[in-house]
Amino acid sequence: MEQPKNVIECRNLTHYYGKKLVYQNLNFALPKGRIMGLLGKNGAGKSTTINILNGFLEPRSGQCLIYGEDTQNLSPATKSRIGYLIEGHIQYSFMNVHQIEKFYSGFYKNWKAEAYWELINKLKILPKQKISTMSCGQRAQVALGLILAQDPDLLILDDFSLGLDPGYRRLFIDYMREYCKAKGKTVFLTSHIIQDMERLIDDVFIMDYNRVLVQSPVKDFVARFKGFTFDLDRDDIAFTDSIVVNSEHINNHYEVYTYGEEADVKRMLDTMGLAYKDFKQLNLTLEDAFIGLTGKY
Amino acid sequence: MIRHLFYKEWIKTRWAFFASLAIGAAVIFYIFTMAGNRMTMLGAKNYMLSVLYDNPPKIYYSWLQYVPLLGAVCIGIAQYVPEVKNRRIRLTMHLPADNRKLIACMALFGLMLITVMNVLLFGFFEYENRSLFPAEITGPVTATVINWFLASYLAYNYIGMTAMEPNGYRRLIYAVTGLILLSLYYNDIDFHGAYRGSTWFLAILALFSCPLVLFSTNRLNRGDR
Repeated sequence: MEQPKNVIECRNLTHYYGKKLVYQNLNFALPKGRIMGLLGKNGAGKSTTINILNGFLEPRSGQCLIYGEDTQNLSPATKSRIGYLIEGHIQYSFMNVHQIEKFYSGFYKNWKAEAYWELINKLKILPKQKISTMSCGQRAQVALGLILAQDPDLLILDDFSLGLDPGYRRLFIDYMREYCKAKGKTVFLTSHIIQDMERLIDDVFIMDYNRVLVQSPVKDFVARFKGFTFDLDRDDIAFTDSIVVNSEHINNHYEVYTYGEEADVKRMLDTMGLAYKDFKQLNLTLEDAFIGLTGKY
Repeated sequence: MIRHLFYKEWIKTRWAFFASLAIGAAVIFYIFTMAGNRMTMLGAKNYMLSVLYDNPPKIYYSWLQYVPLLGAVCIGIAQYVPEVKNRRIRLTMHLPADNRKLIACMALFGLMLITVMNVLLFGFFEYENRSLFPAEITGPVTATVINWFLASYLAYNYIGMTAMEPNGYRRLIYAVTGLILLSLYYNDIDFHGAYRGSTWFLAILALFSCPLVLFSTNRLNRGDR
């Protein structure tokens, strides 16, 4: 059977919680071998999207397909191709390290126990150690080991950095990046810690309330999206020009975010008759760009 | 697949199962030790007359009343609470199998465990009862206690249904409905052979409650709130 070009494809997705609109006619696709990061503020619909993708939530209308199958009715064969990491690295905490491996091994035909045990041995965790007694970092490694043993084609990682200290986050990301790129895996992930994502993702998908703000390769987005700072002699200016995506100010110190060039911003200020000082372009990281795009509030 | 799913359920429930079994066995041992002591003190004939003809008659086995229920509640809680906590059920529903089959297997395991517990406890009770008392007493007593064992199935099924329900109000409604239905199995007993006429009805009620957990699972699956 011919494989669809996109691993994930969501079409005209609309969802409400009661009367509250989460999003309307959301469309996105994730091609094979790409790592896509879903970014958004709290309540923007990230978890809703993850739940729809996993078939835990039926959208009000529209459809999500994974490997060409509707996520509401995934066949066991397709489910076995998806690795799922729940936020907080939740696992069956009543099991120990050995029991959980034994449990999952019965569900996956191509289970690679050695991949799991290799990672567990690196952490010097004992096979009889119960998951409920582990630190968040150790739990993350167990969850990662289980995913490596499952060897799925698609990984869905929901807020993978939650509760991890910087060392474990870095370890997790580096391991994941190397694994996914070496084996051509497709990844769809969310995280609140955007600085980590920059090391991991190829494509960025930014959602705000009810709408999609960006869907592009992360390098393109960071290259195209710019921030400028300058001082004005007034502190009550609201920029309404279409080139300004977002602006913030503290007293008379302004930050303007735009897809335009420096010259466009200066032209706008001149047109508005505003004298500016200390005009500088910001060197934006993905996190800066995300905050610049969606605002601090 | 089923073997591995049962393995997970066994890890969750084994201590609840053994504890319930031990408590149940201890209660039955206590009941018949006390009955034996009374027979020694009063004489077997006098004690049996009080069991048969006192008004109300001596209900020597009343301690057994809530034992199967306690076991079912312990097993149900041990099985479903870890799945509901942190919505861990998502892990189970992500396994490569039909979600309804996965939950049905979980429920089947619980029902099997309760059946094993009930058979062992009921067998122990019947053995001790028949060792001490004549058929005139044991027949009606069996007709009474069997309903308490049936109640354990209804309780377990309602625990599953309530735990898997995603909506808080519905949970409350299910819990209250379950308690009302459960009360049918626990009327005041003041004669041996109580609820003899309603055993079939209570058995069918318990049987029909078995698929209830799938109703909540369907709602959970759809993401209903």
